[in-house]
Amino acid sequence: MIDIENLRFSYPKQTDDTIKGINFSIKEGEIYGFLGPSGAGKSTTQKIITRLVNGFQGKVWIMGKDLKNWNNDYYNHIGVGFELPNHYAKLTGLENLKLFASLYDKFPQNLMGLLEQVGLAEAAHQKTQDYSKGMKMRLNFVRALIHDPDILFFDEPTTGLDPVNARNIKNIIKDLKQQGKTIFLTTHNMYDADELCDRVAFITEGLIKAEDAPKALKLKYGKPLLNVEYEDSDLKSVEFDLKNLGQNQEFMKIIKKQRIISMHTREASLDEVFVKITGENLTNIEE
Amino acid sequence: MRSFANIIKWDLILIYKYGIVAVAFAISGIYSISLLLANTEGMEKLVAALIFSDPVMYGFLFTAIMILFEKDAQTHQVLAVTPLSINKYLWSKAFTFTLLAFVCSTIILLSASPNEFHPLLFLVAVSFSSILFVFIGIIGVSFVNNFNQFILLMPIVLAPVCLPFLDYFNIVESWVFYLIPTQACLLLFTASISTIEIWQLIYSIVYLIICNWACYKLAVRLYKKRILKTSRDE
Ligand SMILES: Nc1ncnc2c1ncn2[C@@H]1O[C@H](COP(=O)(O)OP(=O)(O)OP(=O)(O)O)[C@@H](O)[C@H]1O
Ligand SMILES: [Mg+2]
Repeated sequence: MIDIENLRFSYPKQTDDTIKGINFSIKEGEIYGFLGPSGAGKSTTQKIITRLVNGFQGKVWIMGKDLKNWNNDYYNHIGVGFELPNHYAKLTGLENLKLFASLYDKFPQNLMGLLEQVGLAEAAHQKTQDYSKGMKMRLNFVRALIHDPDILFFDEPTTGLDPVNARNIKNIIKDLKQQGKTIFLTTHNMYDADELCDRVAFITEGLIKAEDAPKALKLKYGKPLLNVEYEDSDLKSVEFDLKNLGQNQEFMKIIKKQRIISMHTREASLDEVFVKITGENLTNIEE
Repeated sequence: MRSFANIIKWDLILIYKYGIVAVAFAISGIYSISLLLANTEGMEKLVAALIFSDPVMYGFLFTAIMILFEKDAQTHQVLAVTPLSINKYLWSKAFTFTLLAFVCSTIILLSASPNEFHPLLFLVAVSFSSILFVFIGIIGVSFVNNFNQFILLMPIVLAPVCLPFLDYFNIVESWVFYLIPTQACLLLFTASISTIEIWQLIYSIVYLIICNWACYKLAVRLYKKRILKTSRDE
């Protein structure tokens, strides 16, 4: 559905490229995650593919057609969820959806139903200027769905949401995958990426440093650990590599001599894999 | 075509919700009452100038206000990912404000009750002037980020545009004024309630078509370059 080849891009008046030559393909029905720290170029890549910025180098094919050859009909096929809220403040949530829905060729979806899905049914007739940040983000999210597009772009769809709403959005994304939608998801939340994405790309400083299924990345770069808590005058906690655990002298000594409080295995997180591959930290960037 | 009709509908709703319609009616109301109270006998020129300043106000100022509202809300980028083309977006603004200008200037015209009236010329005068100033408004607003900056910019744009009034009220006479499109607007408004020379009529229509087209083209370019593509989201 989406094929990107040697994509390069720099913003006007900037000497350095923001995107420094990236390649990736997204298959139909796949959720593809772009994972990286702030300023890595995630949103920029989304903006290039959705044609909100122009003047890139390289090749972008969407549904088998060169992006440069698409006319405005392109937008009937893609839905864009923006990073930050952008609504007509004086219009209600429902009116906002109606306005944008009226510009697409397809007959609009059940707009009230969409609002319901993200818990905005009660606020449907309230002006968006009176919405909270989380409500605006949820409206952003469903607005991408009004014309039932084949390809969806979501730029940090769960940022600024409470856990319940974030979970709900993630469930809807999974539903959309079930319906066969192709989804490009941008995030710096590794848990979301891990849970939702069929494949993820690690992007830092405009380059893709690794790309694979989350599970495969964790297997390849992370090692499963055993975490042991024991009492030795005070509470201590140590981690051991699961490999050759029986030959690990320190581990043997602890289980023989100390009072064990708890013991559990821990899978390497995508976060740790990220640090290992890119040398950069994801978590301390998150707000 | 359906999307064009729809965006016009929503632009009309928006100018109503932003309170722009209310302000426009209030201004025309004040103008109308003044004209009803004054004796406008033999004052065709003044009436024409007054009516002309009306679509100019709407077109120029209100377009700028509306686009600044939208810029603030960052809805331009959302419109940009719908099938609606930039051309249609801009013409919708032109159409919306021209309709408003037409209603308001008709109210003012009625209260002036001129002896002569040529409806077709009046329609042409309102549309051409309004469209021109909508596009000038878009060009102007593309250079500013907020309303305060726009207020500072206004006299710079409006001063040259107002120069033809000097000729119009016989203060200074020069052919140079014919280079400024406002001259053509003033002539057309005069033509709609009085008489002008035929060469002036032809000049006005032809010159305004050229200027409108040029301003439209420039507005499209600046909108793409300065309003849409540079709008950084942070
Ligand atoms: N309009 C712009 N003009 C110039 N530089 C820009 C513009 N937008 C973004 N940049 C720069 O491009 C780089 C990448 O920005 P981008 O928004 O793509 O990052 P991101 O990965 O989405 O980060 P975040 O997680 O914070 O959203 C940054 O260094 C940013 O300063
Ligand atoms: Mg971003």
